[in-house]
Amino acid sequence: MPRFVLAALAAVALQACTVTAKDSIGPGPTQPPPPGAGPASCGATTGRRVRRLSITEYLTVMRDLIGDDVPLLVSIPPDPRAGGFDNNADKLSVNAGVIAHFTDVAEQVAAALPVDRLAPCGSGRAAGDCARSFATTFARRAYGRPLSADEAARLQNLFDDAAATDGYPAGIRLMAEAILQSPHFLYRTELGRQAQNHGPVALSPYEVASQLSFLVTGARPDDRLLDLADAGKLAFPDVLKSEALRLLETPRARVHLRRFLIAWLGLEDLDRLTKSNEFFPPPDFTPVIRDEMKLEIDRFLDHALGEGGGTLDALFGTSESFVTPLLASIIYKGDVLGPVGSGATLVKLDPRHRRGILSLPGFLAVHATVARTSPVDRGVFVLRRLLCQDIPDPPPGVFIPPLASPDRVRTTRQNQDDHARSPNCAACHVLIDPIGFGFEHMDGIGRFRTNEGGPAIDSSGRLNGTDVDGPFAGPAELTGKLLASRMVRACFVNHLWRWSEARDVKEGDGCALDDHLNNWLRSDGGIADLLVQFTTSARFTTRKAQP
Amino acid sequence: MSRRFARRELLKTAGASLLVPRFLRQAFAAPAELPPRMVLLMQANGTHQASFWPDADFRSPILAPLLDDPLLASRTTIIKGVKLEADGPGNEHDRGFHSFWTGVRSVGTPTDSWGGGPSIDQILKDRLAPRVPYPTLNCGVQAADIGPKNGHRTSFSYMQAQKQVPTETDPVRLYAALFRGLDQDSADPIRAARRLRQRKSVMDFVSADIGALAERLPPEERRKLDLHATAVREMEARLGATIAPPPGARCMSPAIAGQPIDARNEANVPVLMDLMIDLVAQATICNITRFVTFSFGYGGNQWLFKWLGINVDWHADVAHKDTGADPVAAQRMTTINLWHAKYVARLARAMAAVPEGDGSVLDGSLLVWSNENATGFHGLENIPVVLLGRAGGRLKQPGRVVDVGVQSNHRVATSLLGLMGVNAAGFGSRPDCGPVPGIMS
Repeated sequence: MPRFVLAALAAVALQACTVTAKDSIGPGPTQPPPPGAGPASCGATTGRRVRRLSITEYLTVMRDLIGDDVPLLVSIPPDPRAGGFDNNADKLSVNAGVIAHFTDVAEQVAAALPVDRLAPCGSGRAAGDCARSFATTFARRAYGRPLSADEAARLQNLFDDAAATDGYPAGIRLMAEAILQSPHFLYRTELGRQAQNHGPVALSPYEVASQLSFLVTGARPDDRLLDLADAGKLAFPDVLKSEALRLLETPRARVHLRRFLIAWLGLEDLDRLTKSNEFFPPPDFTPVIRDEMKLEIDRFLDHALGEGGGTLDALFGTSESFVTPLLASIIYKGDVLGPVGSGATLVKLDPRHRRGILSLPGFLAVHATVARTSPVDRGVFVLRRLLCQDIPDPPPGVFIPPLASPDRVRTTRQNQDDHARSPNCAACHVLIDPIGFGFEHMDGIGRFRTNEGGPAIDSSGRLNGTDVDGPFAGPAELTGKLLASRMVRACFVNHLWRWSEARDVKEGDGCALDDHLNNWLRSDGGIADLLVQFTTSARFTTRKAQP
Repeated sequence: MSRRFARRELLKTAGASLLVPRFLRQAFAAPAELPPRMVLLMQANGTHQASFWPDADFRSPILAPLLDDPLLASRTTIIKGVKLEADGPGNEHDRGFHSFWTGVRSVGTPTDSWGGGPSIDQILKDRLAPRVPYPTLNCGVQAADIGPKNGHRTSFSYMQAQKQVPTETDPVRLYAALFRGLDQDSADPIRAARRLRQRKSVMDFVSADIGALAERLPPEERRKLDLHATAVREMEARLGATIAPPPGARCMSPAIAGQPIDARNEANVPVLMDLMIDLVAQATICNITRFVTFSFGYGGNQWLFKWLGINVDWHADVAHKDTGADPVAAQRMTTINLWHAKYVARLARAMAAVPEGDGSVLDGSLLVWSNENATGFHGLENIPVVLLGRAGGRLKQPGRVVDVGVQSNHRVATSLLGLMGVNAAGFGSRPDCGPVPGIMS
């Protein structure tokens, strides 16, 4: 865990902002490697464990298994988001309510299962044989490993029981119903072949296959990966690497990585964003505008991941985006250079106002209040999500004075300055607000503005306590600074690691994080580069015996 | 994932061969011995204190929906002086959600803090094990689908440290889970019996898998599967169970049988509130569930309340401005709190309408309307706590304000345990704190 996070944990929250940030933060996570060990031999820090599939993963895996022709009518409440991500293995849990949903889905899917397609049984074949081969195939894909003899026998019992009274399809359905509620379907294991008391435990080939597949595509392994696991080939790093590269080329990897970026950037709720229609009356902000903002973000991220190579430069550094005619006329106005086609087309944007994701309307509208901009929200976003500074919320007991509204005389910036003046507030806000102020030319729905009804906007900003300290004006200049920051790269590695490991960063991870950061800086590559690094490190295929 | 589906489709699917009701209504059975029902309702963003506390005539602008109705006023107890004493990471909104009803130090970081232990509803379930299909139920309106910043302010019900009970926010989904099959008593009994046996054999299969997998796990990890095993056992106990609603209860929820509703759209909040409150009422009245936790939105709620003509961010532009000098903010806070009170009254009235024993279902129950904060600007002293009902006679002399001086949430929770029939010397991190004086008869 980065030292500043530990410091914040150990200290009263307020103190996290009173220490001089630069001293406590440093350029990135550092942790001396164990004596005598090189950077490549950082040990496994994740213990042997099980991970419940997130609801997102569950639905993907289910869809893979049953095909597109079986309706999935029951929806399941979303998982909690811990630090932005919905896959944290320590937070995902089950209770009677969640189980009831899993059971509902299993029963509905089993009832609608296309038995003819998934469990064909031509004349001349014994029903029991057909059932056995269905169980073998179906469970292999559901569990990501072959069935054990015991499991096969117990499934056969279920088949026999139902088939005897209701016929062959009923027997198949009952087996499916059981498989879809088994913990082997609902969880991923990271256990290795046997428990040991010390030393790293090697994951089984099938566990490695699932690790790789879930990391890159958010789904269970495909047949090719399972075949490689059968053949024992996944023990070879070069095979893992070529498989990682193969999976990264699939369309679902694109969708999966886009999901990561959206969670990291805090954009998951863009599709239900509301604004006060007193401040942003139609046609300025409508559900249609919001949906087009979302479309733009999706297209932009896909483009950054694909043609852009998944680099931070592609995410933050480009002055091009996918603009619809409506967004061009209402939000972008003069910021679009050149003609806009129908639909969302890639156009050049005025680089003085627009550069990268931080200046897209969808991003700016989410990181704002319903009525105005929010220098605090935007500043906190940059600090927490891009620089990994664990700026706390106002701690308990601090009186929060009301924030005045901007008018003909005073700007949002001036009001915020007054609002956060007390020493209790200033300790953190002196770091937060100057970043947020840099965005003040971009209003609450992402339009460029020169005033907010009163004095001219002052969008001079400043970064404090980072490795790229100094003044800037507007998101375009801020982006330039962030792209030059080693802290930003370290922070990105940190978030991707948290997401890939499905847990909080903990003490001892520093070695691996440093290792990955240094390799990544050398390669100058994109997200794919980092993921391949993750998958080819020894940590990926081993677990600590003791947690 | 499909977020919407029509009940029609659900029932159509339910006609498929594997789908018969999980439990059946047994209208004339005498209710089994059950503890009082409890519904904990959590509101966000504090109250306008001056408009909340009743005057000498037991009237208050915010509590009018309760206190202007003699039936409800005589069953209303208001505890004055409750202080949320919490420890660990998180600000006041976080603490309202993860500490008020767990009573233990939170875990996590200042920006990502979580409950550090089980909440009172889960403790009651473990201690009293009521034999109903869903011993506990956690639901609310737009509590769960919110920004990542506040992922932990989505549920105040915890099974263990860090392990939230997910909050069900979709009334159609909730309806399906609670009531499906209650209108199908005439299902072919032979088929139903066979299906029941098959379901049990599937549960046995799943339980065997869980047991075998658990054996391979380190102790810390085993707790995850323990929760899973418990949930499966509860599921199995539901199979073929019958419910015994009080005579005269209508145990269906006709309001749901319409179009799908987008549970994430803020414009739907008033409709969602009606549906959810009615479902909670039906589920408790009909003895389908016993201990309910309900969230009026997520912690630090930012609803615009367009339907009340407010149209600005409740958290930032109303609550935080209600510091005494802003009459508009004060009026808005009052209006919003009054709106919440109407739903509490709606729930109480539904329960009061069904006779049970010598009184009504409300008399055999305890509704607890509490708030994550005391004031709009994060105050934690004088948190408004309203009790409704008589907890089966255990609640002493309802129809008054009980001014307790300054008492911590731990003591309130200890009192609630007592009112439910669980003897406890304290709660959470204060095992010896004792109850709030003057509440139990």
